[in-house]
Amino acid sequence: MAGFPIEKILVEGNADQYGLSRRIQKKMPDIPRVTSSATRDGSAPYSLDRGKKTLHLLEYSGELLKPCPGTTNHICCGYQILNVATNCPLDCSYCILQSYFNEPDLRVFINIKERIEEVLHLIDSHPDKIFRIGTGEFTDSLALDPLVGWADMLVPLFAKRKNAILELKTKTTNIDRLLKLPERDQIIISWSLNSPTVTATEEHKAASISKRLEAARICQSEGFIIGFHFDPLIPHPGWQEDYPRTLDLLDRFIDPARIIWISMGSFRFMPQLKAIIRQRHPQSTVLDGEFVRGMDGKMRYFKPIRMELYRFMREHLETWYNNLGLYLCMESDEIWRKTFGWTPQNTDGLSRFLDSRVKRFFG
Amino acid sequence: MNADFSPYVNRLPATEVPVENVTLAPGPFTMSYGFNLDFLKASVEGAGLLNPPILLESGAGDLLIVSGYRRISALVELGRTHFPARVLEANKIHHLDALLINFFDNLATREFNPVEKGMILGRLAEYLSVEQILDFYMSLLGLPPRKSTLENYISFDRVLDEILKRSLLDGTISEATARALLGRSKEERQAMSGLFTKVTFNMNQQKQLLELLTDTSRISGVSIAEMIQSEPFADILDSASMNRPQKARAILLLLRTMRFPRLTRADEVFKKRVAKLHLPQEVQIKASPYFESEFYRMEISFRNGRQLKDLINQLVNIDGLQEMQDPWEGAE
Repeated sequence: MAGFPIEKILVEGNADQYGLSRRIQKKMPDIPRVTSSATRDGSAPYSLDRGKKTLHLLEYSGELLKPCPGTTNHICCGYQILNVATNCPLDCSYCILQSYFNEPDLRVFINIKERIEEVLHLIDSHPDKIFRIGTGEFTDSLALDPLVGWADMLVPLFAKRKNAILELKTKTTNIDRLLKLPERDQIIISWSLNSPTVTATEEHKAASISKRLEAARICQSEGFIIGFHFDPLIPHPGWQEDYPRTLDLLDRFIDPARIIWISMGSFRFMPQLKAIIRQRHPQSTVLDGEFVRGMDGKMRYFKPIRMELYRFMREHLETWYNNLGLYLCMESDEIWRKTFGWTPQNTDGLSRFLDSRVKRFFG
Repeated sequence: MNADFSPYVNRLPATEVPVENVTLAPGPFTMSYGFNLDFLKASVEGAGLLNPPILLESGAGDLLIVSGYRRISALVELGRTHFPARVLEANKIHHLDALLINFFDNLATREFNPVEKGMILGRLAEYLSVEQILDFYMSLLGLPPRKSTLENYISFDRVLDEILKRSLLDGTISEATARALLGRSKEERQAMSGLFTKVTFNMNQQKQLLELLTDTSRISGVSIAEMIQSEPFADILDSASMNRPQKARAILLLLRTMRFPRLTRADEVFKKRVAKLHLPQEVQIKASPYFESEFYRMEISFRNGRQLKDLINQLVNIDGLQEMQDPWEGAE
């Protein structure tokens, strides 16, 4: 695969019984295939590096739909994760997945088609509830799409359901398969954005900001509703000049009236991630900030720094367009009030706000 | 493990050996580090040499110490010129077996310190595979059978300088700190070993110190050695008015100020503002850790309701109390 070199396919258990597993392997005839599950050698950094080159095909028997792992004392968006895969072939230095999963491989669950009915049944049996569902929390939604074909599989199913949206979140430009599909309803394609400096120095193997925005422009012009996520915001030397460069590009490429939402979150991480970043990304500067232990045990920028970031971004974004569906990811009621001038108060409140955006854009 | 050498060794009679024929420097079989000879010398003087050392003929004509390095060191310090020893013939025993003789001789009678464990593992690694060492010898040394642990212990012996080895043995630095230092450059280790000889950091402080030094050095682009030699550090290290634990706290405070300038400033401003209120001594105002919560806490100590009422009345009349706000807001 261009950009993401897979060096090994690991087929676990009964994976070959599934058509998806066989189709994926057919696309990679020259890649060595093994059936053992013993891929770990106990050395985390090495395993992570190797894991990013190992495509692990397996059945998934756990909960297919999981609530976003929100965090105590912070307001969560109430998003639900459709667990189609874990880990990601991109290699962002700040990625929390480096310390989140025990298994470092690119795990692709090959029985999603067989199990998606469970999720659809849940959606259909709660017609008054809006399900905001995404695949971009535990993996990049589109990085492996040319290989796996999640878009082909999922988009037609969600497009039929008025009380659900499917958000495909990515840092890539893998939109070709999406564009070939006729469905547009209930589908949101969203991109993670950052400053050009953070993108160039910390988001290894991801597309540049202008390429992401060009892909977003094409999706928008082809009728898709799009979203953006400035997460993680990372203050760095010159950030006040650098983030507006991304905003300038947004202005150049994107129609703001057809953005469903833009989220913001500052870099936060569990303390154990620090050693992994130091080892795997010794040149990274993402750990240089003034991090303190937050009320949820995660390391976060000292509060006035976070507030400065959010205020700055909100002011600039709202100057561009004043109805962008801006929201904060995992922040406290206080930060909302003091940087946005209003607060959803709690997770339910933020869910209602985002649900209202869904209704506004999709009826 | 091969114990074929046991009958041969056990049958050997002790013979009187001149000290001058023995290579007294620690040889390939010794595994003693950081020991004190006083008790051993007293024992030899009081009861003589009860257990003769074991030596090995070397090809060069002199004798290598297989077992009894400490005993021979004690004899030398006592000025003895000859001592009884069992001498192994070079062609009758493999070097690994000689090493194992000393290992098991010591294992039965004493605990090994971390540097000695490193010496043993490093020497075993010259003859045995990593798997053999992990499977059998790590547990004998009380260590988990992990490759990273094996590598760390070998490095304690081979990488740490004498000052850091001594610091590890006398508890000045923890094993965790020693492990962390293995990943540093020689210059950084030297700079930090100098710091550890002048200042007493407890285990938790050592962890903080390493993290703060590393982060601050990376962010500022100034090497750890340069930082430690810089004026503010030198002032603390050379201070005659501070004891060693006080110096440790001062160094950590200095590093925190460098690493967290905005947080430190906020702390200072908050304390200054609270001090300006001239609260009754029974009243304290505290911020949440790192100011993460938006709420501040006031604590009032009182003996009875009458005193509480008095204190509340005093608080109501304190000028400026209503101006209390986050330390990063308003004029300092």
